Parts: sequence; C-alpha cells; structure tokens
Amino acid sequence: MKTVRSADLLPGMVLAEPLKDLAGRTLLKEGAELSESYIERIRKWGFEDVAVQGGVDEPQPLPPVVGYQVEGRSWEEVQAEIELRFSRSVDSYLMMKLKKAVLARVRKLVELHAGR
Amino acid sequence: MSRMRELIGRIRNLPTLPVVIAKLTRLLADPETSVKRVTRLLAEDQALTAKLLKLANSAYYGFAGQVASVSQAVVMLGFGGVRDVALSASVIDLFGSGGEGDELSELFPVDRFWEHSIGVGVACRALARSLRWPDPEEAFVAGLLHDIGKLIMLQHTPGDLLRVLRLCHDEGLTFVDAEARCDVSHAALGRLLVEQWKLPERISEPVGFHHQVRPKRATARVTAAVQFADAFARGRGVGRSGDDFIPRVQPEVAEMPGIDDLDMDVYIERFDEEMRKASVFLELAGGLQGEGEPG
Repeated sequence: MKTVRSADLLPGMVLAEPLKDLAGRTLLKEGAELSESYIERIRKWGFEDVAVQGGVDEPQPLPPVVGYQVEGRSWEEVQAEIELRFSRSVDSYLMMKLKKAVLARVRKLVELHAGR
Repeated sequence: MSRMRELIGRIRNLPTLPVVIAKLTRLLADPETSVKRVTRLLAEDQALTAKLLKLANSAYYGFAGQVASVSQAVVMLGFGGVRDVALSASVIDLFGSGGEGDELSELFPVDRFWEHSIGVGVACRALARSLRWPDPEEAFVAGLLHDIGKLIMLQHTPGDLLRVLRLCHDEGLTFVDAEARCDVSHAALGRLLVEQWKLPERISEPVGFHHQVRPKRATARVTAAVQFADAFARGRGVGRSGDDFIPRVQPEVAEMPGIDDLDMDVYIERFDEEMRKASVFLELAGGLQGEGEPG
C-alpha cells in the first residue's frame, strides 16, 4: 500500500482502503479500480490523498502537452488565454462548441500536470 | 495600381523548390510512371531522400522503422504520398527557422509559425480521414502551406508584415483585419508562390482563399477544411501565426456536413494524439537537429 496525492492518481490504480465521507458512508469500496471519472470524483469530493495498492512504483510520465502551455500554470491563467483566443468568435456557434470542448480538455490537462 | 499589385511587382526571386520536386510532380502525372523511375529521380537529391525516409519512418505515418529505401516508401505511401512528404520537407527547409532578438521575430517567431502550420495540416488530415476523403495527405499539405504567404512577407516585405503585426498587437485586430487596413494579403501572396511552383489547384485554392472560400470551385471542400482547421488549431492553442485570435469562420463552412456535426471532444483527442506524432515535422522546422529516432 502507498499513499498517493489526489492530483497524482492514475487510471488503473486500485484502492487499498475504502473511501468514506464525513458521515462514514462508503463512497468507493476497497479494491475499486480507478477510472478517469472516479479520479475526477475523488478530486471533486476534496480528498487530498488516497491509499492505493501496490509498492512504491513511480507514476507513468505524462505525454508531451499539445497546444496551450499548462505546466506550471494555474487554471485561471490558462482559461484567460483561451477566453482571449475565442473573444472574436462569440457569434459562431461552431467556435463556441469548440471552445467548450477545449476548456474541458485543457482543464483536465492542467489538473493532470498540477503537482508534478 | 493597387498596393497589393505593386507589392507583387516588387517581389522578385520567389524561393524555388528543389528541382526534384517539380520533376517528381511531372513524373507522377504520367500514368506510365514506375517505382524505378521515381527511385532514380530521388537519387539525384540525397539530402531530400534522407528527409523523406526520416518522415516516412516517423510515428506520424505509422511505419516506424520499416521504410529503408525510396522504393519501399513508394510502396507504403504511394506515389502521391511520397510527393506530399517530399514537398512538406522541402518547404519547411526552404524558409529556415528565422532570426531572433528583433521586434519582428518577437511578434512573429518562425518556429511558432511552423507549429501552427503543422497543426493546421494535422487537423486537415484528421478531418479528411474521418470524412473518408480519398487523399488525406494532400489535405495535410494544403493545411501546412495555407499561410506560406506570411513567410513571403517576412522575407520580401518585412516592413509591411511589421505594420500588420503591430496593428494586431496594439489594437487587438485579427491578422486578416489588420491586413485589410494595410491593403496587403498573405493569402494572395501565398497563392502567387504556389502557382509559380505549379502545385495543383487543390493546394493553390486553399492557400489563396482560406479566409474567403469560393463555394462554386471544385476544390471548395478542401478550402473549407483548411478554414476550419486554421480556426481549430488556433482554438486549441497550437503555435502562433501573427495574432492571438481566431479569424472569422464562414457560416457555410461551419454548416458543412462533417464539420457541423463533428464530435469536438473526440476530434480534439484524435488531434492531440496525431499532433504528438507529428513532432518529426517540428524537428525539421528546427533545422534537423540531431538524428532523432524513428518512431
């Protein structure tokens, strides 16, 4: 068993202990394999670190980032850059659809790189 | 005489492509062409052959490490594929990586320009593939070359380029709007260049009209794809081509089947993956530093 910060969780890791809320209700059982959506939820619930099974393996290196620089930047900073890029395209439905997808994608990348 | 025509008149000695590319294009137009003839032709330009093989072996084309000779490259990429790869390598090579330290390179860093151009090429190819167009590599070349006119400005009329860039920077204009104020057009200049290179209309039309698609042209589909891919690459934050904004996307482009109903989340993921594989082109733009490994 090892303790991993929520920001460093990776899909495929397995919980070594159940995750419980303040009332003691089980949110995720021991042995649950973490998917991306589970990891997102764990972060949303506010857990700082989580016990997972296994030794002291290093997490896999992240693939190189495409597009907006996310390393060492806060979400607010990156978001402001994206907002500026799209600021001349607010009347295009297609570009607003793209903006939504870009915000979601980049936010995920910022979170993935936070704390690395 | 309009300012643009005066400008075109002033530009002499447009950069030329390696002789081999022109010969290759002619050779490929001939239905009798054989692998042997293409191989013999490329043997005339060893530097180009080396780049061709480097690209063909990169993750981008998916034959990592398997392409040992030109004849194998022809078998795996096809005649058209070989020409497109050789053309891409030559064009990136032709313009080099630019200077540094002055205002012009500050406002228009050439390495970021290539990153943007490669991004547009990758986005075009991804779109062409998902729509099952017959020639996704050609869509890549159209995207790669779409802003080539900006490099002509950089080389031949740097004063004009600087005025446009300052307008973008100081007044928050898009590059196209700033150009309109200065009565210059990178699209028209780019078209002039690729026409002189005798590239087919499927390349010259998108280069010349990616900001104003001419819907009745047979090549309107690729031109529309380039317009969308340009907007996409900017929205995704890939590279920089003089300004920080997304130029206008025409409603008829946005409404095109295949673009209108694109699943953006899936498309972004595919693009990111392909863009990482295309890093080999960025290496070329950076001046072929080191050998790099295939794959």
